[in-house]
Amino acid sequence: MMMQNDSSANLPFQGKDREESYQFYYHQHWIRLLWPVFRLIIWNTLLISVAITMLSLPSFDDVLTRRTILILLTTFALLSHFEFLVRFYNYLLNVIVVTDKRVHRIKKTLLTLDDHESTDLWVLQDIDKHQHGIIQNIFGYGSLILQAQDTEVRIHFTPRISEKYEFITRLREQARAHFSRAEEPFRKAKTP
Amino acid sequence: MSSLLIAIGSWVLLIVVLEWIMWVLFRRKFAQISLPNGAHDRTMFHLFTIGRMRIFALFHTLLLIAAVVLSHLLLWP
Repeated sequence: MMMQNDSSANLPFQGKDREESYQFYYHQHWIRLLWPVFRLIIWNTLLISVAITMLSLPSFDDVLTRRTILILLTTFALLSHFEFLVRFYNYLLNVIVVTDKRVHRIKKTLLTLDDHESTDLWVLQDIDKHQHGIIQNIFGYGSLILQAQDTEVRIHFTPRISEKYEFITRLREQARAHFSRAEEPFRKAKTP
Repeated sequence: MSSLLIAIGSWVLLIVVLEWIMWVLFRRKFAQISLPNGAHDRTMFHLFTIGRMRIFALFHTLLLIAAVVLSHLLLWP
């Protein structure tokens, strides 16, 4: 992972401070979408099976029965598809944006949620990386835990977690150095 | 035949309206956080741009309409 160039560093996004420089962003690991995709496949397989049975069996020849079953099948098919679509959109609306000064956690849903949590990099005491279990280690994702004095931010399902961990640690050191340089004139002014 | 057309037309209208509402809601919020990750990015996230998501929503709508039309043509009594 590399630093962004000057043109992309100035990119605006929700909640960005004028002095911040954008570095990178990421969504949660794609494994979060695995269960919704499976559920969609299972539902569609079930519905197609019922439709095929309806086509082949003579007991479904009654007009009203056929229409009722078809309406029910279509309703369930659409419900399963729109439920998946909502989950997919919500997945994309959950994003971590890292700048040279802060880590922004932005979590939205289509209608009900619009959260924005910012953590200053220079105040972070510990940055921990947790990868538990075979699946997390095979697919390279896990949880990042950012600990400040009285707050703790847990970012689960971080993809390519080793890269992100190193990059955020490096950014924290740069942010601390920058903060110390900025504080220097005030410290000198205070000391007699 | 007319009842079949009414049924298909109603489903198509419902699908288009729901997809459109969801797209408008999604686009409004996604536009504030859609960012490029640059050429070095090895994840798939750079693929999720507004333009590509619009194509995805359009494709999903057409897929649902095709499925509804096909199932009704085959199964409608």
